[in-house]
Parts: sequence; C-alpha cells; structure tokens
Amino acid sequence: MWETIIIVGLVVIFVGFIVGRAIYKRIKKQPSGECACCAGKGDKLVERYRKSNK
Amino acid sequence: MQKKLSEFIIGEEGIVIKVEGEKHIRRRLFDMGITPGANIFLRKKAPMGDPIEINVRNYELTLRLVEADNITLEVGKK
Amino acid sequence: MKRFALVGNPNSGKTTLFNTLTGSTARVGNWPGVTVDKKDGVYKKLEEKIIVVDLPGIYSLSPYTSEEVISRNYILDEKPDCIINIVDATNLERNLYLSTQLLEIDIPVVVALNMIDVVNKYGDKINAEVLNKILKVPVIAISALKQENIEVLMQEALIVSREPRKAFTVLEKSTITHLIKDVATAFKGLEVDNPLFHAIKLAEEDELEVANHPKLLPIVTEFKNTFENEDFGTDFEALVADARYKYINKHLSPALVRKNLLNHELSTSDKIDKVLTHKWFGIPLFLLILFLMFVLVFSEDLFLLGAFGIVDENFVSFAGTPFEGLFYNGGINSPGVILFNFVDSLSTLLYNWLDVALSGLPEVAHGLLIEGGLAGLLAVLSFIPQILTLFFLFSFLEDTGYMARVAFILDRAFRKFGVSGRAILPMVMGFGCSVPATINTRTLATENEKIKTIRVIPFFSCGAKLPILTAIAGGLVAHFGIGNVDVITFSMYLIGMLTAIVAIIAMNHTVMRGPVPPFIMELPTYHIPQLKSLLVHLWEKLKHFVIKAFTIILASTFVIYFISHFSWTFSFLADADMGDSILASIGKILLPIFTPLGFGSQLSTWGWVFVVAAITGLIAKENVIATFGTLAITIASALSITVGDLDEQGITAVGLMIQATNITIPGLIGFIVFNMTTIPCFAAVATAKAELPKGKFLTTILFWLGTSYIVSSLIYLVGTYWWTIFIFAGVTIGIIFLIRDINIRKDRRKLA
Repeated sequence: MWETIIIVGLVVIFVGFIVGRAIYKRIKKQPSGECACCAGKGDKLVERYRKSNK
Repeated sequence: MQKKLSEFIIGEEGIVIKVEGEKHIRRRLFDMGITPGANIFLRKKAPMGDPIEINVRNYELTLRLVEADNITLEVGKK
Repeated sequence: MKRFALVGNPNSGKTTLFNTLTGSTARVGNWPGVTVDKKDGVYKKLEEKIIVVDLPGIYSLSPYTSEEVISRNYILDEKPDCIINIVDATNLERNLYLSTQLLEIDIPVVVALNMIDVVNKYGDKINAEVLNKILKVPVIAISALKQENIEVLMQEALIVSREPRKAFTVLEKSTITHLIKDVATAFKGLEVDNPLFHAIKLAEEDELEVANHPKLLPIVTEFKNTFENEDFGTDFEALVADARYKYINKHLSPALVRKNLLNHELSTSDKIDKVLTHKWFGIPLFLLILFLMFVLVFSEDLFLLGAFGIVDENFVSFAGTPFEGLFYNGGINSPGVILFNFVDSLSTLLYNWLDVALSGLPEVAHGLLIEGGLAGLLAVLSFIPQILTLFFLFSFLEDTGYMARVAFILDRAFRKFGVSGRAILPMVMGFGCSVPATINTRTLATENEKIKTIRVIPFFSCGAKLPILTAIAGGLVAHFGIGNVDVITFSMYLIGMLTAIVAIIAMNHTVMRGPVPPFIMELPTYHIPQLKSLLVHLWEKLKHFVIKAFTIILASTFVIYFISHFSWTFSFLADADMGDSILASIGKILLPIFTPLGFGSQLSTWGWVFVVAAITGLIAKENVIATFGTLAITIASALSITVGDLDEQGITAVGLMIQATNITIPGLIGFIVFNMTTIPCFAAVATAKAELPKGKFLTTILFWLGTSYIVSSLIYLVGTYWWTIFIFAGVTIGIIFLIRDINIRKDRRKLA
C-alpha cells in the first residue's frame, strides 16, 4: 500500500509542478520557453510604436 | 530608345530613367537600388515568364512583371 | 553594461556574427529575413561585458515593414552605445545604402566589412582605409564565418562607443541641403534627438515622420514650392535615394578594385541556378527534391528495390538478428526508418524490462507508471529520429539558398491563390514545426497575405503529426492489408496541401479579397550550409522535443491515465471497466458530434478513445498517439486480445484500436485528416495569436475547426457512400456561384 501512496504522490507532485509552473509563468509574464512568447513581445513593440506615432 | 523593364527580353540591359508606381512599391524599389541611373540586366525569367530575375548593382533581385512595369529604362546606349 | 546593436541588410551574415560573438545558437538561414525579432547575447572577451543585440535584417530605415520598424525603433528609442553595421563586402553598393542612413543618427558606428574572404578569393580588393575616409567611421574587414578580425572589430567598437559621434549625411552637397539644414535646425529647437535623421526623413515625407511632426511639414511644403529639379521635380524621396547611391558610386571606385568586372559572367551560383530554375525542369525538380526527401525519411524501400521486384523477402532475411531494422521485405530501409527501428527496439526492450521489474507493485501504481507514463512517453520518443531527419533536410535546403529560388519559380502559380512566392517558405517550414513557420510570416508584405498564410500553415503537416500518420497508416496496412505505408503517408501530406490551396482560394474570394501582395526579393548566392550550424540547430530541436516529452506530454499521459481509470466517485477501475471512467463519459458526450467524420456514434464501446485522443492532441499533437499507447494496452487486456510483440508501439496500438472499435478505413482516414487540419497544438495556437492582427484570432480558430470538420466529413462520407460525391459536388458548385454573385454585387456597389 505504501508503494502506491509514494508513487501516486510523486506523480501528483510532478503533474502539479508542471501545471503550477505554467500558471506561475503566465501570471508573472515570464517567457514560457515557447517561441510564441517572444514573438508576442516583438509584436507589442511594433504596436506600441505605431500607436505613439498616431 | 526607352523601354519598360517588363518588356525586356533575357540578356537585355539598360539604364533606369524613371521609377513610378504606388508609394510603398516605389520606395521598396529605390531601397533595393533601382534608382535613376542604375544599370539593370535581365538575367532570367521564371518558368511561366513571370517573375523575372535581374542583376542590379551587382546582385540578383527578383520582381514581378507588374512591378517591373513601373520601371522605364534607356536601352541601346553603350 | 554597454549595448552594441548589429544592423545590416538581410543575409549579410549578421546572425553568423552574432553567434560567433555570443556563442549563442540563434538561427541562421540563407534566406533574406530569417531573423524576424531582436535577440540579445553577451560578448565577454573585452575588458567589460557587452550586450550584443541582433536586429532583423533591413534594406533601409523606411517604415514599411515590421522589421524596419523594429530596427528603427530600437536604434532611435533605446539608443545603443554603438551600432555595428554589417556590410556584405560582395555586395557593397546596396549594403552601403543602409549605412548612409545609419550615419545620420548621432550614435557611434563601426562598419564591419563582412565576407572579405570571399572578395579576396575572387581576386577583388577593397581598401578599407578609403572607405573609412568616405564614411568617416572606422571600417574593419572581417569574416564572421571564419572568425577573422572579430576581436579587432569589437575593440574598435568599444573605443568609438566612449565618444559621442556627430551625425553626418552624404546629402551635404545635394540640391536639398538647404531644406535639410532648415528642418534640422527646427528639430534642434524642439530639442528632438537625432535632428539630422528626422530632418531627412521629413524631407522624404516619410509616413511615420509626417505623422509625428505635422507642425514642421509646412517648411518642407514651402521649400517645395520654390524648388524644381529637372530630373525629379519635387519628388524628394527619389531624389534622396538617388543622391545616396550617387555618393556611394562616386566614392566607391577608388576603394574597390574589381578583377572580374564582367558582372554578367556566370558564377558557380549562376550555373547551379541554370539547372534549378530552368524553364521546364525547375518545378519538376522541386517536386522531385521534395519526394526524395520524404523517401529518405519514411521509405522502407529506399532504392525502390522491392517495388521493382529486384529483391523480395526471400532475398535475405535478418529477422532475429541485430540487423533486422535495416531491411524490410527485401528493400533497404531509408535512414529515417533505420533510425526509427533502432530507437523503437531500444524502447521496447526498456518497456518490457521495466514492466517485469515493476510487476510486484500494486495495480494502481504499476498501471500509472508503466501503462500510463512509460507507454505514452515511448510512443512519442520513438518518432524523434524521423522528425529530426526531416527537420535536418528542410534546414539544409533553406540554408543553401534554394528556398528563395523556389519562391521565384513558384510565384506565378502561388499568385493565382492570392499569395506571393514568399509565402512558400513559411508553408514549407510548417512541415517541420508550425511555430517558427508562423513567426516567419512576418517577412510577408501585406496583412492579408500574412493572415492567409498563418491559417493554412497547420495543414502542412508538422513533425509532431508525423506519428499520427505513420502509426495509423501502419495500422491500416497491418490490419486491413491494403496499400503501402509510404503511399498512404505521402497522400495524407498531399491532402493537407490540397486543403491549404482550396482554403486559400476560398478565403481570396470571400473574407480576404484584395490585390496580390508585391514580390520584390533578393536572391542570395548559393552556398554550402555550415554543418556546425545545422547540427546546433538540430540539437536545439532535439532538446526542445525531449524536454517537451518529459514535461507536458508526460504530465498529460499521467492525467489521461488517471481520468481513464477513475470514475466520477474516484474509485479505481480495472481495465475492463474503463468505459465507466471520467474520460470515457466526457468522450461519450462528444461522440455524436464526430459521427459524420467516421469516428463518432457508429463505433462500438471503445469509440470514445478516438475523440479523447483528438482532444488531447490540442495540447500537443504527440499526445494523440501517446493516448492510444496509454489506452490501447489496457483495452487489449480488457478485451483479452493478446498483444503481439510491442514492436512499433504506435502501430500496434492503432491495430488494437481498430479491432476494439470496428472503425472503417474511411473513418481512420477521416481521423487523420481531422487531426492534421484542425486547431494545431497549444504552442502553435499561442504563436498564431501573437502574430495575427487583432480580431482575427477567434475567426482563425473557427476557421480551423470548420475546415477540419468539413474536410474529414467529406472524406469519410465519400469513402463510405461513394454516391455522396454528387451531393458534395452539387453543393460546392452552388456555393461557388453564390460567392461569385455576391462578389459581383459587392464590386458594383463599390463602383457606384
């Protein structure tokens, strides 16, 4: 029985860590490791620039 | 003799006199070195005759016939 | 820390220099415009650390493309301590055109004369000292590739960065000097930074400048009224561009000694070009190259020996020996398949070993680790070799400069679909991964073209969708005994491309009407790709893939196992009772929606697995097969089907799924096509959201859902009841006429 608890516990911690990390990065607006994140930044830059020139 | 770049045949060469066209396209052509006085050599045409490949200011540039239509050149003066 | 910005034309070797400086692994390609965002890294070899910023390649500081805006904005607003202007020495005139604009900004500049080794090889000579005098900034000849003179360059950059530089313009003796001086004085009065730069841009009536300082525009207008140039009239934009080139030409001749002045002479690049962009052979050659690439990656019969009957299964058999993976029914496997077989055998060994080793564990723990985590993980990992081989080949083609030629030869055909030949690169990149492909659409000229391209990129089946294709094709062949895996896989790719074409045409005539975007592009000279850069790129990709497998994918397989083995009351279910699980109940609710697609209500008990797999695929496409891997084994034991050897797990899993659900061939094809054309993975969706203009994201999601639903229903229904093709044809023709009619009316209203 204790093996089950340990293994299930570890798996839950692992899944929780992955999900938690993703949520944390999203809230803190940190790069998520996906290219999309940096791409978005460059786009915002252009947008801001266009706006400031209107 | 004046001729448009879109009327060139492969191997023909000329000197740009005038660049017309919509503002953005014209600016782009200028930036790529197609300004009055530049020497253009038509190197090749794509399989269906369009776009074309030209040599301008010692590099290869490709553009379409529609865009090439904005460029007038003087040919035959060597 | 000081910041140095790398600025230069596309394809001038900026990214190579950046990599050399920072030891980074940023992407280098032989295609104008590969760097579409700014990147930074640290240079450590000087007495102080320097932040090096790699800006996108630009031809000019005009405001017409987002790359130009990003670079211009960075230089003017963030004010780097020094601009390192990379100049391609083999193409001085056009490269110096940008330099003349950079010199008008009050920021220290060093000119890096790159590819000097190539110039010297051709026997030409460039006098850096003369250039130095013309440009009034240090000019250092370097080779970014061979890492020559890099330290000298950086040392010089550090020296100049310590002193402010006074802007200088080559237009000093031009006819509009007077105007520029006046406007510059006005700017100085307004205490604007870089008055000279702004003055010249305003004189050119640059869009951004006019919008920014409308009050100063009257000075320009007034001047224009008193001015008439015999060549240009009052067209200052042309006048300025011309003056820049004239200045460069006039002063360049003493600096540059060209040995082979006959510039029409055929270089090696031209000779290669003669064949690859040939009038008749160009397009067939491209198709042949694509086909060969797929054969190299997927074929189990590399030299078509088996297909031609030269050898057959009796020829030689290595079954049971370590060489088993090399041969298949007499044919020699392609490198992609050999690698696949190798990794697959390893993972099977690992699976069986761990399965036995951990058999003492209680059922929940054992199931979670082995059937949940491990099976899903291995199903994904065994496809790494093929994904990487394909990726390597595409990067290779791109780096040689061939893809730019493909744009050239295919532009005419693409234009019919309302996009320029440029759109071919992001589309072909889509075969590797949708994310970089979507980012690359920034090099496209118009917003409409960009939206259209981003929407169809997922239809160019990416590497992660490959396991779905091969596993299901393998399952089809193994279970129904039809066709050939290569043919099925290749035709699935074709269906994807066909969907893309039809979708683009449909968009052109409905929501995306408008003129064809321009196509003015540099054709870079061919060169042999650097193996190092290719391998580095491949390593990055591998790392990314493995990390993803061990985080997101592993976590999802655990979650799937959990919700597939627990009921809503959180009691553990044995494999046979999986039909009562949380997952099954969700799948069953959604099942009827997929009936027209061939994997809905018509399937027996386990049909919901297909729906669940497709849903998990929205997180990452690798999950589709991972889900099969996780669920199939348990289903097999539930149905007491003996799992044969676990060789080629994905395929076995699909085979089991076919047995368990009685899904038909058109249903399976419908399933593949649905996964291929629906909403791509999470990462690709996020990228698309970042790249698409506001308000286009939601419609894009709906577009993906709609397209996949329609295309797969079409395939399933026509595959099952052939006569429905007449109904579909009728409806299609009806819609075409309706759209035509609406468009004619719209145009009339516009004219009126």
